[in-house]
Amino acid sequence: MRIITLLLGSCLICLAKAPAQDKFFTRQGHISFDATGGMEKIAANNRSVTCVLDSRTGALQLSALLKGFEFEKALMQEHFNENYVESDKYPKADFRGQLLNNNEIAYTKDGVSNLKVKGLLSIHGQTKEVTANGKITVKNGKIQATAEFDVLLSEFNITIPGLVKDKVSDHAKISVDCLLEPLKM
Amino acid sequence: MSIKKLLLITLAAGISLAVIYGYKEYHRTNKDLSGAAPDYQVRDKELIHAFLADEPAAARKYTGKLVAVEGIIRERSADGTGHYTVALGGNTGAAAIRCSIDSTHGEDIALMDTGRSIILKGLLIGFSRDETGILGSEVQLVRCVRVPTGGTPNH
Repeated sequence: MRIITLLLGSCLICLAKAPAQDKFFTRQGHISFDATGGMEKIAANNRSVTCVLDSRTGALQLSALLKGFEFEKALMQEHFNENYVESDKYPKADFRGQLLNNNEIAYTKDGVSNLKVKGLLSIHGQTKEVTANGKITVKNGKIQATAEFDVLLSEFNITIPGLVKDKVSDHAKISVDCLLEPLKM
Repeated sequence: MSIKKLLLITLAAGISLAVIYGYKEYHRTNKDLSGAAPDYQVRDKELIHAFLADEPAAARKYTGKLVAVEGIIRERSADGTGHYTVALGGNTGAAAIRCSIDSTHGEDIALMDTGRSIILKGLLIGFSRDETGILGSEVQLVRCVRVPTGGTPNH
């Protein structure tokens, strides 16, 4: 627990201390997840994700309110908030991590680079280490960061009731897509 | 009509109603909020102050409620899919109210300039306190629609 606290603290200190011109951010990042286990699509989108990237250190932070995930069906959304992630009790999902190959990414010229990120994902009161692969696209001074990874729901104390076990997968595929702009201070 | 027959008809009617209700409930989508009466009507500054001053109390009062917020447009933007977001906040420092616009109401917002006063109504989903010290804290609303004011056309 101390190591987790130290890591989270280090990420925050890195983001707060870096000069503004190295930082890129959005408040409109997009996270989608898909936990389809049967014929019916179990998926949701959140388009109000905050993401901050420090291009100098590679520190990356994402946060989203769980009530911001919108499902096609209202009943699914209600069950997600009330029974699965208990969003009244645990309102936020957080990721604080580090780009492992940050020095290989050319932030100053247009182009596409692969990214590998490792960090701590906190959902439903549980914090787990996750690693994800994705892409960084630099165009006209903006950065588009995309990544995908899988999480096992049971690792975050999210229990699937027996009645819907054949409809809901035991893991969720999470996709992140954030168009980051330079932070002007 | 015998009692047995009457009971059977009542039972069949009851089962049919339960099936119809279950089907409708299962396929229910999130409703358009433009016709719904707000639980609260507040100014942008007042709402932000409520969360900054006492977040737990403000969360208990406003989260999950339909809130109409009157404020100044600080920022209006669209993502690559045409999904609009409006940040409200005049004289509110770095803090703001971020309204994710209902995708079927994007055209009501598309031509709104920054600096203009507007009333947006949406479901308040929570408060995102700025932990980095660089972005500013935000109250977040989703499925927002523009509330028409006098003399303003309602699209």
